[in-house]
Amino acid sequence: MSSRKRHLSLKTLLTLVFYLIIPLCSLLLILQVYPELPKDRFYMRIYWVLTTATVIVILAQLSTHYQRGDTRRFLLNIGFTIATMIWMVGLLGGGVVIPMQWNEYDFSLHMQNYIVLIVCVAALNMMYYTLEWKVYRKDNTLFPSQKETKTSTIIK
Amino acid sequence: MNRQQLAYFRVVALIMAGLVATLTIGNLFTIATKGISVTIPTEEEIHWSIDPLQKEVLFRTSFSVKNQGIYDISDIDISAHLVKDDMTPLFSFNKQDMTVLRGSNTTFDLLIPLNLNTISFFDWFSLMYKNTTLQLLLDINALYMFGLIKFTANETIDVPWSPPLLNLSDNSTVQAGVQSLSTLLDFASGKSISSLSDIISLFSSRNISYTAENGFSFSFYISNYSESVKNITFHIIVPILVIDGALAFTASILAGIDEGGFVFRIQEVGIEYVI
Repeated sequence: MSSRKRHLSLKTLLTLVFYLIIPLCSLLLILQVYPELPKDRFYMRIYWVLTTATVIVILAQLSTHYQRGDTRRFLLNIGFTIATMIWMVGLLGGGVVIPMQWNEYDFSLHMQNYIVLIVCVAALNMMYYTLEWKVYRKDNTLFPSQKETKTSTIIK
Repeated sequence: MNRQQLAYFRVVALIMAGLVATLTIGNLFTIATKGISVTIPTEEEIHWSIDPLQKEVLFRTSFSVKNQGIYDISDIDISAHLVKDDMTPLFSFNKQDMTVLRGSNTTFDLLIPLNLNTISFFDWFSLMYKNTTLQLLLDINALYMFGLIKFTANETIDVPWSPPLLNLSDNSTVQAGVQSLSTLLDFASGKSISSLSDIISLFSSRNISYTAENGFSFSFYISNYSESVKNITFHIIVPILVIDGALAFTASILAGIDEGGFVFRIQEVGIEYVI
């Protein structure tokens, strides 16, 4: 466990499970159980999930290499948040209006309000990362010898 | 802001992010896997009756919505329009603010009154003799997940229409008479342009009186209104086979030539339910 901590942070592990493994399994399960659903859309979703989730995992891992208050960590966290936003939109179908089909009937799902919710949550996370960056940068300037001690136990 | 407050903020932001991601995966499952589905009634499940006093045709049917999602479906609005092939509306129907609770299978009974007074005689009559395809334009809207997701469906369902007048009588003279009446009504209502040959063919028509065993009756009388103008009267009774009673169509039209040119003038048209 201790060697894993050095190489893969808890944040990275959770990101890997939550953003890559669970959605990928869900999509593959849907494809298996409901073969009548249009496969192209699901392959497109799988492509999106694979791409964005890989980026999210890499950003999560890279951000843990830097101390809180470090500008590089702040930028990586902002990138992480933007990537999760793209991941959610991609998983939902990649647009504000999603055309779907049951039997021979077409219908649309209008996701405007849902996208607004995703953007709001992303903004909340960005606000956190900005505050974290400001608070820790100030502290690091005032107490340059103080090292961050809890990096291994707190989800960064 | 100190580090402790920042930690609390972090917890809130993390929970929100996790919640939205979970909702996204949950919605994907519910929506993609038909956790929500609608059962539309078949032709056999649509019943109808006539209220002669109100001059209404009442259609009764039902449809059901299965909601196996984790949120209620709210504000379900249904708007239906039945139109002819030329998009002339025959009737409209709206029902709003229906709700299907989560985990339930809800059946909605629909009672659709169709007032005969709202449909013009010409539209009615053309349905009586013309093979056509009606279109049912359906608009369905609903909200899911506290209004975060809006569901819309716009469907056009073709309804093949077999004209009862021509089906009721095999008599070719009657069928020709019905066609003549429709042509006359089209002239009189300005929907098509007449020619001299039309006038000559009308003037050469003879009186028809025909009654079938099933109660179908067709009469065509032509009389002199003036020297060059004829008064053409039709009276058609169409039995409604599923219930007692019949629909009676009456039309009286002046046709001919006067100083101003061709004359096609409707004297009287009417449709009524008779027992």
